[in-house]
Amino acid sequence: MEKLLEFRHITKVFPGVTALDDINIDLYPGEVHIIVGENGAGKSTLMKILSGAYEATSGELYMEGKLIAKNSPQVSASLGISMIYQELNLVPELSIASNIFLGHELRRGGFVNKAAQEKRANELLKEIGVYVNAGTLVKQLGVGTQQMVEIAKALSRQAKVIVFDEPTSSLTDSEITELFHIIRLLKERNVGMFYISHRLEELFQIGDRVSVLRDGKHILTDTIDHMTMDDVIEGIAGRKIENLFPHVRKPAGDPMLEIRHLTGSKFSDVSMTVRAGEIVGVSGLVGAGRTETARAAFGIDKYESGEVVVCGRKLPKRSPSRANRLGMCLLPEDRKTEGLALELSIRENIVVSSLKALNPRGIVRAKNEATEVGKSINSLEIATSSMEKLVRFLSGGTQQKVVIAKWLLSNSRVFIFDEPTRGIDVGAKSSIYQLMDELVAGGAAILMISSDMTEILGMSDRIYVMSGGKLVGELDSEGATQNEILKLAFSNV
Amino acid sequence: MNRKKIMARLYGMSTLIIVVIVFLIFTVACSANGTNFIKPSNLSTILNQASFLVILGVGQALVLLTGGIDLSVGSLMAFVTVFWGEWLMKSSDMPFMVAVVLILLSGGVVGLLNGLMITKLKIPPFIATFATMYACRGLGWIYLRNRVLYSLDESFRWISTGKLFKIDQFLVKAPMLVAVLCLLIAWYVLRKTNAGRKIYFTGSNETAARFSGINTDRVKIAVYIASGVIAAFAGLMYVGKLNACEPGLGTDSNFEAITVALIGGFTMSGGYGNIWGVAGGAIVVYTIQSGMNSLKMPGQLHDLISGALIILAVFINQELVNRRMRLENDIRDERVKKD
Repeated sequence: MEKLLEFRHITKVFPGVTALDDINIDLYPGEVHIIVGENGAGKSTLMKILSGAYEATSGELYMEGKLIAKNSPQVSASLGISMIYQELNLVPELSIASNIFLGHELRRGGFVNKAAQEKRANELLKEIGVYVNAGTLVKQLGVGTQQMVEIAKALSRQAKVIVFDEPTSSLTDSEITELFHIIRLLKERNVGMFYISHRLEELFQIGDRVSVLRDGKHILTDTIDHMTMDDVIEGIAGRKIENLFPHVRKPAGDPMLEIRHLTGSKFSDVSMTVRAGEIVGVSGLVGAGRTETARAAFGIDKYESGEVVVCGRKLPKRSPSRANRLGMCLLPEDRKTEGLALELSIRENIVVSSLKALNPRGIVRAKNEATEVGKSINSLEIATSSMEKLVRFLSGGTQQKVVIAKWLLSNSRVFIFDEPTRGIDVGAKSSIYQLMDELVAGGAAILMISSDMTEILGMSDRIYVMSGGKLVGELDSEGATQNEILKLAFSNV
Repeated sequence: MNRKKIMARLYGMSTLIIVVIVFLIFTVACSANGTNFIKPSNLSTILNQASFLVILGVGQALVLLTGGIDLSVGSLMAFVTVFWGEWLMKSSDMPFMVAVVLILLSGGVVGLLNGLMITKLKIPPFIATFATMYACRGLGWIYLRNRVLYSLDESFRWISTGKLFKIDQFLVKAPMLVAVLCLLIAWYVLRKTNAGRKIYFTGSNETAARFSGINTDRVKIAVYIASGVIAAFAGLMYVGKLNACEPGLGTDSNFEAITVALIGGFTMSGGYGNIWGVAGGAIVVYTIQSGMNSLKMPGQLHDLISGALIILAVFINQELVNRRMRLENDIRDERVKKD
């Protein structure tokens, strides 16, 4: 059979990271090709190259044997490539029919022919077994039905390739059954599908072939009959732990951070304790509620019940400034939007949380500030030509160091690191690990949220695993395995 | 290298460049008409009138720095001066300082209300202050009906009309002094205090500011209060100049204040701007008004030109700011490589 689609030697380099490294993956008509990998393994990047949102640094993309020379969202759509994302792209205030034909309306004499659109939309919906009137507004539909509308939309554009990105993450069980039924119908119509999912059991329900990506590399591709769940997990987690992690376990001291029965909209009844001298890892999938829990505990977002105690003192809700004064800090997942003022200098970013200590009368003491910032730059080995350099001109690793420097200067003792090394090259990674180890050696406490399995296993003393907004397990990192963690992480999705 | 330095400097002076261009245009246009636009007495008048705009612009600049906007300043000026205006009159037994203090306080209270609506009720700044703009104007009219409080205390009016000294034909008047003081204070607060740091950081990235332990709500409320007090102060200066309090005061001031700040290099997105730019912005805005008058052009044409100029100025500012940042960065890096 002729290949429907083929990625040949696709490489994508972002500044500082190779997101995809020589990927060769193909797709046959009528096939469901499942792509799995940890967060950041390169799945989404690969699909964005397919949709034309990104341009590959090198390599080629073939559709039905023909090279797609210059891809773009318009080109891929015209070739019959449709993307169905986790967050649906429908306009809630318009009808199903209008959504399906959005951008390629059926016209008569220059006007949109609504009647024809509804008729055709109803046919499409019927083909995939959805019995809703196409005149219904999308906002009145559940998430599951909205997804069906997306599929009908893809069909209306004669889609030959459909990419499903985490399609089941917000569906109920019966909706999933329905979705799988439609996917099987699509197979019969020779539509080729890429299917990205974190739910490994789905592989065996719906997949024909599986490809595993890890750190931007293509690890394996095989038919589903040749694989077991353990093979897949091993492929995902895979690599041996290098000696990247300097952390030496020491006896833990008093509790410094206690999160007690914290419940909010995205997490419920989460309790965690971090003691002085401890690095505690929090593992789980994207959407497990880890970041949300951390943000609520620090006071960025609200929570419904429970309490947070830092060094014996209860934190008020929604007051990061108070949490900060008690010595707690949060290094956010997204440094650029949440951690730094990119248009301000390194100096201004580092001193911002220590203004009162540095300038007790409220008047800036420039020399004092410069000395302190100079010390941080030296001790953290922040690579820069000047402390007046704007943060936006720094690399990811250096930016992360600036965020850390800010918190060190403010004498924080309780650190929450959210994905501390995401998007950072290995060299900078190891120096951040070094730093974390020095911090806890000095009596600080660290809660480290990470989707990087080796980092979790390599740096933590203990590991909490969250799944579906709940704390599903606590492991001693001594003897914990990646498979054990992954099984827990998938247990409540 | 040297060229880069010069270019970086130049890019940093976009407001000054606009000032020079505007002056050049009017000087040439007026000399064709046989009048001397840049004679000292004319410059003195321009700077004196621009001083009023400087004060308004400083308040607006503070708000813009945090990423907000205050549309209510003109109406606020009218409302607070009308409300306490009786005590500013010649005929009043009350010392005028009482009224001055009450007017400034009231300005602060209106600013506080703006700040609370924006931070606690989460109403976008544009809408919250837009509503305040109407409410204040309405209150002023209701309070005073069709009356005008005319003939104010002469010693109070010194602040708007007082003559200090003369250099040749150039008359230095009290408002100029007030404007310079206002700029100096704002510069000091923004550049030399913790409060200023927090204002810039909040405007540059509010989320990061919250993560860094800055109480961003408090920062924002503070700038709206400051904007209210400064507007009230500007109101005092305007009524002193007019020698009357009336509810129609400062109808154009809302937008003049924003124009001044934008031409002065501040951005709607916040976190960027140098307070001295406000002086340039004020001079440009008033120069156009006065220049068009000297050329005897209709007021509508003046609006048209202001509109075009805002677009031009904002475009130039954005473009140059970016280039300057890049150049300065290159210069720093090159310096290090040399060492």
